[in-house]
Amino acid sequence: MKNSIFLYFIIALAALASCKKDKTVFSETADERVGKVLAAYQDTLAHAPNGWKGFIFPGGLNGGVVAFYFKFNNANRVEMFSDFDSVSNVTVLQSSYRLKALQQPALIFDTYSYVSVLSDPDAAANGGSYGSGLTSDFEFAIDTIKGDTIMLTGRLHSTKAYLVKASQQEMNDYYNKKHTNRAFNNINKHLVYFKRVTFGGVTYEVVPNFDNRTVIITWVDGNGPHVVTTGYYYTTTGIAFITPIVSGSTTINGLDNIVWNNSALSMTLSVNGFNQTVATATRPLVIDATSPSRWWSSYARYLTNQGFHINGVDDALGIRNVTYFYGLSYESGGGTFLDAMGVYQLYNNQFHADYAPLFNPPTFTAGKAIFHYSRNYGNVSSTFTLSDSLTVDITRTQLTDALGYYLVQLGTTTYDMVGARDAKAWVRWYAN
Amino acid sequence: MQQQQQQQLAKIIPISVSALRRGNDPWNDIRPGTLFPGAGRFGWLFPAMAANVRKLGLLMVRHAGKILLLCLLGFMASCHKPDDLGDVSKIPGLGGDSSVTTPIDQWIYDTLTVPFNISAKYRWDQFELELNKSLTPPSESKIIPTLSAVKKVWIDTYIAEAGSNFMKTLIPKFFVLVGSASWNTDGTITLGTAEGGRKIVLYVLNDFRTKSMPGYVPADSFNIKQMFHTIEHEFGHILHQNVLYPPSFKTIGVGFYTSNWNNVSDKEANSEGFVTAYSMSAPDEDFVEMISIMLTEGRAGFENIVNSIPPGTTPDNVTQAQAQSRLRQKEAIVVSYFKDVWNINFYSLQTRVRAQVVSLIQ
Repeated sequence: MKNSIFLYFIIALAALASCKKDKTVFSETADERVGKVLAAYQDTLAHAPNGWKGFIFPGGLNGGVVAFYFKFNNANRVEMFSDFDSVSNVTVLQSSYRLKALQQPALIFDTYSYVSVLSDPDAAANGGSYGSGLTSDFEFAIDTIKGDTIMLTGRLHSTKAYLVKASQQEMNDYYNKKHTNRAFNNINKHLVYFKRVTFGGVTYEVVPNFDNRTVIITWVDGNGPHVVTTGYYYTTTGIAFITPIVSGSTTINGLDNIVWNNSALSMTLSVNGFNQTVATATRPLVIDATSPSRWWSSYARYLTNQGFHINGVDDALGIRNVTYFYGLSYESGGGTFLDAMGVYQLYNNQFHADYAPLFNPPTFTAGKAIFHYSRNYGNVSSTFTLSDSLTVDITRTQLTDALGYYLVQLGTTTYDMVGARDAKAWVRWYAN
Repeated sequence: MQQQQQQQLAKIIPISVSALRRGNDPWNDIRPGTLFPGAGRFGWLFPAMAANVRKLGLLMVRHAGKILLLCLLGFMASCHKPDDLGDVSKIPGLGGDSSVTTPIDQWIYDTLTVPFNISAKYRWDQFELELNKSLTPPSESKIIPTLSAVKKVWIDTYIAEAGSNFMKTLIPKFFVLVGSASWNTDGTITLGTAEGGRKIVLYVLNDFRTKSMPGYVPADSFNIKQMFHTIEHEFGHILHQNVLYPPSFKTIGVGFYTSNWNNVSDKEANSEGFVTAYSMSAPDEDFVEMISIMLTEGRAGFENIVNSIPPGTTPDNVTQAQAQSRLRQKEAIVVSYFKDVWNINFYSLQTRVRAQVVSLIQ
């Protein structure tokens, strides 16, 4: 009781205290202040003499980045380049933009441009998903301006982005169409999966994930193994890491002067000015002992639409030739049931999985998964022919290689499964 | 109520195109969402989320007293104070967005705003559209070609038949242009919407390509026909919302209207006596789909639809003769509706519209 009297006293005090207050904290109204801020932003954008570099991190890329160049003027027009593909990196596009006072001052790219390509819900435009594209934005709230950097946050998908004032050299490189080096895209044409570069006596393993525009860099030093995943973007001579790799006193900002030799199937590049040929290895630099069991137990179904890449040949076992082929799966039975390698077919607008080799649960040793064939499920039919079943048998034989497979985790739902025999056979699994 | 009903009537024309059939590589669907039922990318999250919501609810019940006290305090603190609005003329964006006029703006003003009092918004404005959809603004290069095609196929033909006063009275005054399609969760896409007879939203401008434009492939004629299908459809709604069609129209297909229309193919719908699958959704949609298909496909195209109904009986016990007769009855009502209500010779209008559509695609 005593307590509640005290409480009411406090409330009464609060009530009294709340009635008298200074009316104006600001010397101007909110509208006047918003107007001023918009004008200031407009001035900042349009008066950067060399334009702006822009970096957008679409949600669909999971850490990947797309690099832009923008030149804004005072008449709602912006010229831009984007490293999203090789054409947009050397072709200037003019479109419209405006600043608007929404809940926050916002920068809106308000007609179709390289920025909106990333959010196009038609996946054919950007390789994302149907309905949301790469879940990116073209309406950005302006968070802060710090020095030469403007921090942005997308309004629909909260896409992170920022703009940095460009140098004259950077501007000229864009307008003079210098952004033509995309040789890095050939790195997976090496016959062997694991690629290594060196600098300062340290060996770095480079695993690219082109789906997400990221690379996974692994190295070992006195403090043990390090694994860093960073987005990359294309420069005039190679790629740059959006998060530089810091290894002791060394900082690596990217890979430069990349040249792919298509006859020797080898790549030369330089790391911090140190020229070298990319080395290959048949095993990972750091063996992730738990990744095979993680892979097996995390998701019930993994899918690939490409099948095995062997010795430089995509779909070397011809799984895509299966009638009505849609995808090949590996489905864990969790130990209760047999595992299955399902063959998904798409016809009559429906999925069919009528045939599947079955497996006992894989065994996991030394960071490898070894698969054990049990028996087949399903029969051949008019929609799944005898020759289809032979194709599947070949793939099953490949899968049950006695030396097993490493599982390289590229993201939460993506793994590359690499043959331990010679690292020349691999398949990419997407959790589904 | 009336407003609401109108919105309901004019809601959308979801012309379904299966997501699977659209892209070059349906595989893309695998990564982000799944095509396999019951295993959505984030499906596993939902039970956990539901549990959190429940927890929040319990928390609020347990601490109801404290929450009440907090509210009370807030209420007291909000004691009356006079609000100075300041100089209202300084509100940014008052009177709408402004951008420096471009040649496109000038073209729209000269071609549509001056003669018809139509405005066309192509610069992105999220608040004209569904807030939960991923959409993109239209490409600037598509705006004038699309709008001039709209004018030729739709506005000019009606004017030629019914006079400019008819068009100036009924024409929707506000076009919103969107670059992408509006993707629905069931895998269909929406190509156009209309609201209250005033606003029409046109999607997929970025795929608009007529035969005179570079890169035209015959498949693009589909997009073009769909766009005019959409416009004629929505304008049909405006017509019948002003003067309703004869009630006898609703009795022709009675018992066959279904919300399950999106699982019916157009061919199957034809065999049931409907001109498209979407026309099975409601009598109003049926009526405007009749108008729209008859105009954009032309008389020969419509005859072709009627005559290609296969012999036999559908699972719903509709015979070929019944289906054809139903379509004929609907055609007759549409034609007499145009004559009696709007004094328009429908067949003549049909000839004009079809000729314009053909000129864009052949």
